Amino acid sequence: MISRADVENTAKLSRLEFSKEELDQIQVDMNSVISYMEILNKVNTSKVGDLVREIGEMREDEICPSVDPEELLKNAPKKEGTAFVVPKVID
Amino acid sequence: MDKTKLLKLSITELIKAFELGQTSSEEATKACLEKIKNSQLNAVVHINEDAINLAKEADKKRREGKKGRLLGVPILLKANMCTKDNMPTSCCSNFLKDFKSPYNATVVEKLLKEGAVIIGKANMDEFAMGASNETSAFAKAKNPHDLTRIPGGSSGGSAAAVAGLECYASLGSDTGGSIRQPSALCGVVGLKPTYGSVSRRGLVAFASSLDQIGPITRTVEDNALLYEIIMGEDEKDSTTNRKPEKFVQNIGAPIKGLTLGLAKEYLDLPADSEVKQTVLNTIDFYKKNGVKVVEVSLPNIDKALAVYYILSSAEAASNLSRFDGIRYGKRVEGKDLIDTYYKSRTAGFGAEVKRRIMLGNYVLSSGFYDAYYKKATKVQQVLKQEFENAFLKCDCLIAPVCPQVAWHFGEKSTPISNYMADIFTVPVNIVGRPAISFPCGVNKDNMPIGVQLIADMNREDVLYKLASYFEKHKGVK
Amino acid sequence: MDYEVVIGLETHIEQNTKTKMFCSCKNEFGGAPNTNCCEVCTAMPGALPVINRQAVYNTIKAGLATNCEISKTFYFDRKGYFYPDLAKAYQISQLYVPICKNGKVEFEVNGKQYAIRLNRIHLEEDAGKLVHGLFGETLVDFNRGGVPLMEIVTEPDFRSVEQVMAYLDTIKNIFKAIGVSECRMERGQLRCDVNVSLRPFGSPNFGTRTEMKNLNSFKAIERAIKFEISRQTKILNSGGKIVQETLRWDDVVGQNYPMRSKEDSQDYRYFPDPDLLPITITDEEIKKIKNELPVLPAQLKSEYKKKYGFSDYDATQLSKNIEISKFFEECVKAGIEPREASNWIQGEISNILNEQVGEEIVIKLVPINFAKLIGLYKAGEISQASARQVLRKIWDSNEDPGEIVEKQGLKALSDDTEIRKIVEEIISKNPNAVNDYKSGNKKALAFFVGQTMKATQGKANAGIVNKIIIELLGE
Repeated sequence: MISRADVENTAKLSRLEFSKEELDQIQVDMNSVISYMEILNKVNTSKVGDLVREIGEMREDEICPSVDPEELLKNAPKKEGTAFVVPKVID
Repeated sequence: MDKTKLLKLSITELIKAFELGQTSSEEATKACLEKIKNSQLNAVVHINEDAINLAKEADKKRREGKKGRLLGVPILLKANMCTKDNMPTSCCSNFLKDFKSPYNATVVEKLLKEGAVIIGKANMDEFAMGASNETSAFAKAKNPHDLTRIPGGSSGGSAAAVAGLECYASLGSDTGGSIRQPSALCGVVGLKPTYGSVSRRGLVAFASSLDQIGPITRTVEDNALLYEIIMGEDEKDSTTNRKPEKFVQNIGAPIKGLTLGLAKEYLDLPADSEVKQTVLNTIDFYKKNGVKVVEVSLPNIDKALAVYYILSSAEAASNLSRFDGIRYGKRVEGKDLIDTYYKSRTAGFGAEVKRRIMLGNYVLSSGFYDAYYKKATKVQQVLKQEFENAFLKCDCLIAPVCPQVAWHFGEKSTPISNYMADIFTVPVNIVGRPAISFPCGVNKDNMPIGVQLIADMNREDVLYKLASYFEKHKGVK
Repeated sequence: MDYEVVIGLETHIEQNTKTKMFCSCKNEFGGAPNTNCCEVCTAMPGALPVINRQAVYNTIKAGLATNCEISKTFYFDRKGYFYPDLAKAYQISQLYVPICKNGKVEFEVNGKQYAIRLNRIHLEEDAGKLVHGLFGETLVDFNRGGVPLMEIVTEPDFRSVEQVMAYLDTIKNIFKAIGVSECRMERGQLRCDVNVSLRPFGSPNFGTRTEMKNLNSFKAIERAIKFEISRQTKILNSGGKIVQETLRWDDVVGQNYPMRSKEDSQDYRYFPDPDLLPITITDEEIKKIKNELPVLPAQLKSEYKKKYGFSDYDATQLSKNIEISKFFEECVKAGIEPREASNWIQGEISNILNEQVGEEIVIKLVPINFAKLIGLYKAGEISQASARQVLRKIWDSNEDPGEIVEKQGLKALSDDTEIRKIVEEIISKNPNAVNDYKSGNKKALAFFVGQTMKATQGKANAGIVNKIIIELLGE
């Protein structure tokens, strides 16, 4: 069972806000899906390794022209010159 | 040319009509745009304002003797494919409602190179998460066979538009059945290619290890033609690994001697009797036409759905984390940076997308990773092995596409009931194999039923042989 | 009470590849914001990463140079967290199978040999840069976003600040020598996260540690660690408990502060990046990379000892730095006697380098010119003082030392009679010093040499001056 704390923590990790009612519903939904997933425990996977995918290729270290910053920033909700703007970051 | 007749042509026929001067790209494009404009299907969400100009250009090129295998053919893209033109790449999400991509998807480049006229973008479930088109942030697409029913999803608009004669073909994307299922429910042909065959560059990612772009068409031959054009490795997508191949030559090729594998566990998954019967009839048809039928076993096929929802949600949660409202998309200013993240994402995503993000982050979060994510990757390997074993005995597997025909809007109220609609399609994505969905009959309400053929890695040729043979010799009622 | 210090380091080193880690944008420091960017490094929808082969090879090179095992098959993972400099809200990194593991770095502190174990070297992408704007807002620039970044993680093996500093100096020199990074700290090419904890001597358990992030100069690292040790000591001695937290070092104030932005406990949700397939490296590739490795500082040191008969100290000074060892070797090639070159490098050249600003060692001196200068000096054509003067002249110009000597009239005064005249005058003016000398005070000799040199503006041949003074003053 997924606890309320788990749901709330997951919402935080997801950067999503929910009302109390929405959280209730999400908890119900997640629990029904997660309990359906218990079916996987019927499969013995003790002898199965970790890697599942084929081997990939790499590219050469050769420069291609970058994209015009105007294009990259054309959808930016806020910008200043060619920089994206965000609310003040404090570290 | 008579408009209805013009719109009903296959791509092959349309190109022939262009060549014979019976019609032009301009005429065909205008006919499609007009059909879309007057349509009740909501299949198309973004119209390319340049479409008619592009069609005129294509006509000019043809007059000048320039070549292109899709020169002048009006085509639709699913709304999750990036285009650097006047259209948004919205994924039918409020988050990306006005987003204009700074680059073209590789498949778009390939279509343009062959002279295709991209007339618009098709409706879909938000970020491709859904099986009915009901999660689209825009007006939901409808099934052309019955407007009170869903067209399927997530490429619902792509399939509805092809079936509704609003374009000559479309591209969809398939993560767990999103090409095959709406194709089946709308009565058209859809291919989910072998993973790694078609570049995903410029496809807004849902689940990167499962997503593939594929064609949705009215004929198997058109499908093979389109697939031939869009497939092949892309140096900007390192998961592609395949040299270009030809597929049209498989259309109408003999099927005698091919082997069809029946997996009892697969065929026994829950489905309506009408659907099951139609699939059995299709098996009979192949048997009668010289195809050998053998029994194979996929003992863990009933685990595929759980594997799918863990892996796809985990990847989706991560893939959708870039939607933070900083560089593009919805931004709702909060009291500080973190609050801005919360508010933008909360306002930008619909309920189903949020559910998947939550599920995905849950199965990846500390303490649950091994139990869910890792376990799922292990069962995925077991399934891969089972499919590998099955393909030692046969060229092709057969299964229903969807447990039922297109249902009515609002009929499925819980997430699980919606997810169950994917039960026949998701195993294919989990194991990376190619599958084709094509019409094999109708139910008592005259709603289309599709069948699914699944081949081994890189063996779309077998799919095209078998599907085109059925199309030619059996036809659809 | 005294405590044993336990320190572990995570050092980030930016590679000097031509392009970024996962896209073909230029890997270049600076530039107007977002001008070296594309859809990949700004995380536009649908953009996909592709692995830079050179960055992988460089990492293997780094691993081989630090005695690591190289993973034949490895892959990349996503590390998820929201931060505006991280466009995808996940960093492509390596958690489960890093390219290099189980390494060892050896170095010396006060003549004592130490070895620190490396847990791993993994490859990842750098984040972009946040710049504070004029109106309280923050500007985001992704030019640095996606630059190949190696993270070198040690075991908690350090027991003193001195060990940390020596280790850092050593790896900096190794990474520069193998040519994978310039390690320029003022450009952020080498940055350090430091974990510090204390425990009673003899305790088998580690104490609670704190982490200081993104220290970007050797001085800051040293000061921050010293500050943290005394802070923790004070807390423990007053019966307090150390809180496990991430700290930010304020170099101006000279204090550590808790980092506000990272306060919620991080759950990075690592999982294999589904956009990238695992990579396999063949034995042949590893062999080829091994063959490309230059002689490393430690090997160079023993080579110098053997070849030139240098002392341990001299060999260390000449070998530890790639710029120095390269220059030394060029000097020898240009015909300067090795010991002479060593003396000059550790003498006047070292003085000049110490006067330069910044931590980087830049030697523009042309070895051929330097060899000519040494030639003039050795032939007695110029005095040592003049040679030093000329050296500073030709340090960053390509002038001929002979011409400078000529032009500035620095030619050594070797004329016996002339020097004798000067010395005689000095002796007659300093009867006290003469008495000192005669009563056995050897320092008086230096006085006369100094006075003679002063009178000749340092041009007099020191050997002749000595000879004449002794002769005139008598034994």
